[in-house]
Amino acid sequence: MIILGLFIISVLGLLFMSMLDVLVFKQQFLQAIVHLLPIYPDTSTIFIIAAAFLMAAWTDFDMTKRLKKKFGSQSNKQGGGENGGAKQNKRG
Amino acid sequence: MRFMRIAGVIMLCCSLTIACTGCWDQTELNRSSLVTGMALEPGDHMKYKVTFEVVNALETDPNKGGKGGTPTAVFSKEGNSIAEATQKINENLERMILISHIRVIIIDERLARKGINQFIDVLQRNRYIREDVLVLVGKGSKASDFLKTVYARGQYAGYKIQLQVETYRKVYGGIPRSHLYDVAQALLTEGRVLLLGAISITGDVEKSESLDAIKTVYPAAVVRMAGAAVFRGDKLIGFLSNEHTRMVMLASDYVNNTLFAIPGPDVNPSNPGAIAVQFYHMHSHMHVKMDGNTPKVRVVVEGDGKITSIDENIKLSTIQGFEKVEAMTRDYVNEQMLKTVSYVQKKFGVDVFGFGQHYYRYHFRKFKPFAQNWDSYFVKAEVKVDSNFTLRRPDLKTQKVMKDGIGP
Amino acid sequence: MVPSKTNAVDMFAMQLVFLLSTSIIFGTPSVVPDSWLVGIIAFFPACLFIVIYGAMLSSQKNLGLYPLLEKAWGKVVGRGFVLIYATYFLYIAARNIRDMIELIMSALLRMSPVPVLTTLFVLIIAYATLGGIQAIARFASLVLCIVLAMLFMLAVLLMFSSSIILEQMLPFLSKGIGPVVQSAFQHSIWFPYGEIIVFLVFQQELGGAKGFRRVTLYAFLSACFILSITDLIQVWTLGIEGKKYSSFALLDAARLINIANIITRMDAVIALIIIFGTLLKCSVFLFACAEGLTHIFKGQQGKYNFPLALLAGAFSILVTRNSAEHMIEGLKYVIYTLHIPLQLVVPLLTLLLLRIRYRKGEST
Repeated sequence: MIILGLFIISVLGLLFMSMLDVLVFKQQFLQAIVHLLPIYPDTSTIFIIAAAFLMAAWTDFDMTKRLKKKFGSQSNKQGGGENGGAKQNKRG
Repeated sequence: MRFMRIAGVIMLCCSLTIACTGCWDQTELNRSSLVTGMALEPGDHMKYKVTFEVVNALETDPNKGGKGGTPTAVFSKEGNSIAEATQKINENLERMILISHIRVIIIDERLARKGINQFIDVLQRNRYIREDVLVLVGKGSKASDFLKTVYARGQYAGYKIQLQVETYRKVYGGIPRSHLYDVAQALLTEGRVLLLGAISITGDVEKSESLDAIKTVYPAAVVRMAGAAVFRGDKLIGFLSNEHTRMVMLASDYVNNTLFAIPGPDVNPSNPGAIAVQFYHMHSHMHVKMDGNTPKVRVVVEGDGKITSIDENIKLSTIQGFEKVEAMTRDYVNEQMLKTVSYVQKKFGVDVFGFGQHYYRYHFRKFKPFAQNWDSYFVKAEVKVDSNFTLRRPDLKTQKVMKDGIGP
Repeated sequence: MVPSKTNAVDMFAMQLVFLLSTSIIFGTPSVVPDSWLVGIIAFFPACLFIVIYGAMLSSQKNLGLYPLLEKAWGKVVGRGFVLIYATYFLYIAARNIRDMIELIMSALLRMSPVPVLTTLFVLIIAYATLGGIQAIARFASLVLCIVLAMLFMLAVLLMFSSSIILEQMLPFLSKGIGPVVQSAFQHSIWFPYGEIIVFLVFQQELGGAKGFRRVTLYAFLSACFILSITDLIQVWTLGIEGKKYSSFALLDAARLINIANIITRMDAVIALIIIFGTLLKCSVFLFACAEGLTHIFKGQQGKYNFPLALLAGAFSILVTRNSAEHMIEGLKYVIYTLHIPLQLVVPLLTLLLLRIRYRKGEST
C-alpha cells in the first residue's frame, strides 16, 4: 500500500509541477511534462525517485522480517530470534 | 549482535565524514594563491587587460623572512571581459587564485573615461569579492603600475594602498569613501554622482619594479593619494584635488577627523603665520529647498577640536582668545567650502555633494519634477555654509612659549 | 500514538520558526520600495486565516484537517481533497528545499552536485519527522533560540560596523500606499502567513481550536515583528535601491559586516539560519503529507517518511529549471493556482458545508 500511495502522490506532484510549467512557459501540456520528466538531461533525480520506491517496497513487502526468517536459523543461537541482520533492532 | 551495532555505527560515521565534507568544493592552500590587488586597464589586443597581484606567501612571513625573493608577483592577462581574463590567468600561473582577499581594485583612467558600468557588474555579482573592497582610479599612470611599485616595508602593494587610503581618510579626509558598495549606491540613487578615490604615482616606476629599489632610504616611486575622481553617470570627467575633496566629503558628512591650517591674523603681512586646529568629531548636515528653479542649500558643519599650533601669539587662557580662533576657523571653512562649491559648479557641473540625494530622500514629491536633470539645477544652486566649531582645549600650553617681557 | 497535548510554548516556537524560516530571506519581495511596510500591513488580513481555521476546528470538536474534509465533502470527494492537500504540502516542501539549495549553491558550496546535497538534507528531514509532531515541536524551541540569537547578533554586528544608515529607508512611500497594500495582498498574506494551514492537520495532538487561535495569533504577531525588523535591517544597510537588485538581501547585508577587519564575512550565519529554518518547515510539511497518505491508505504511521522525503528531494530538483522560473513561479503562479484556492477557497467552502450539514447540536 505504501508503494501505491507513493506512486499516486508522485504522479500528482508531477501533474502539479507540469501544470505550473504550462502556465509559466506557456507550453503545451505534453511538452511541459516531457521537459519535467527526469529522464534527460539530469538522470540523478530518477535514481532518487527509484530509491524512494525501493524503500517503500522494502517496508511494503516486510523485507526486514523476511530476511530475518530466512537467515534466522543462523543467528538463533544468540538468543530468541530478536536480532535482525544488519538492520538495527530497537530492543537489541 | 553488539559487534554488528558497532560496525554499523562506524560505517555510519565513515559515510558521514565522506558525505559531509563537501569535497567538491575543496581547495588546497598550497595549490592556490591569494590575490591582493587587481588592476583593470584597456588591453592592447583585446578589450581589457587585467593585472593581478599574487602573493608569494613564503616571502611575506615576517618571522622566517623567506629567501629574499619578491613578496608578490604580478600577472597580466587580456580578455574581452574581466571574467574571461580572470579565468585565463592560469595560462601564466600554476596555482588557482583566491580572490576573496582582494584589497584594492584599481581602474585605469582611460577605462574610467569610457564608463565603468560595462564591467563593474562582474565585481558586484561575484560572491568572493567583498563589498567593502576599495575601488580606486589610477591617475596619470597605467593601472598595473600601481601594483608594481614595491615599497620598503616589504609588503604587497595592494595592502599598502588599502592601508594608505584608510589611514589618509581617517586623519585628513582627502579621499572619498570608495568601496564597492558605494559605487552601487551612487549609481543607483538619485541626485548624487559617483566619486571614487584617485591615486597617482610620483617617481620612476621603471626603477621601482625591482626589489633593489626598496633598499634605498628614498623610495624610487611612491603611490600617493590624489583626491577624487568625478564621474558623470558612469564616465570619468575629471579629478578633484585633495583639498577640494576634503571639503566635498566634509559637506556630505564623511570626514570625522581633520586639520585646518588657518592663515593667521595679519599682524605682520609679510609673514602672517598660521593657526592649526585639529578636529576630532566633525559632523555636518544639509538643508535643501527649492526656490523656483534654484536650489537653496544650507550646509551646517559642526566640529569639536583643539588647537594644535599657533604661529602668532594669541592668549588661550582667555575666553576671547578661543572665540577669536573659533571665529577665524568658521570664516576659513565657510570660505573654503564656498570656493569648492563654485569650483565644482563651474568645472564639472555635477552634484558631487549629494544635495540632490538629500532632497530626493526628504522631499521626494518635490524632487520628482527636477529628477531628470538635477545637475543643471545644481549648477545654479545657492549654497550657504553655517559652521559651528567648538575648540575645547589648547593642548599642553596656554599660549605660545615666548618671553612676555617685563613691560614698561 | 497517544494523542498527548503539546506544550503551548513549543507550539508557538514551532509556528514562529515555520513562519520565519524561508521568508526571512525570500519573504517580502522587493517589488515596492517600502517592503518592510508590506509585512506589517499583511498581518491584519492574515488574521482572517486564524478566524476561518479556528471556526473550522471548533465546529467539529477539533478534528484534524483530513477528517474534516472527509466529513464535509463525503468520502470520495473528501479523499480527493486530502490527496490534493498532501501533494500541495509535498510541493511546498520541495520548493522550500529548493530555496535553501539555491542559497547554499550560490553562497557556500558551488561545485558540489545538487542531488547529493538534497539527498543528505532530505534524509535529515525524514529523520526529524520520525518522532512525530511532538518531537518536531520540541526541536523547534531550540531552533527558535538559534535563529533569534543569530539575527540579534547580525543586527548588533551590523550596527558596530556602522553599516546601518537610517537615512537609507527614505524616501518613505515614494510610490504611494497603493502598491504596498497591493503587494501585501498579492504576496505576503499567502506566503508565509497562509501556509499556517498545515498546522490544522495536527490539531488533535496540538490542542484544538482555542489553543490554536491564541498561539497562532501570538506567532503571527512575533513573525510580523521579526520579519519587519529584518526587512528594515536590509533596507538600512543596503538601501532601497540596493535591496531591489539583490537575490538574497539578508545575505548581502551580512556581507557588509566588518568590525576592525577582524570579524568579516558572516554569510555563514545566514546560511545557518535558513538551513535550520528550512529543516523545521520541511519536516512539518513532510509530516503533514505523510499523515495524509496514512489517512487514505491506512498504512502504519512513520512508514511513509523516508520514501516521501526522497520524493520531495527529487521534486525539489525538478520543480524549476532556473532561478528566474523559481521566482516568477513562486511570486505569481503558485499564489494564484495553489495558495489562494487551497488556503482560502477550499477551507471557506468546507466551513460552509460543515455549517450546513451539521447544525449545532446534531453533530455526529
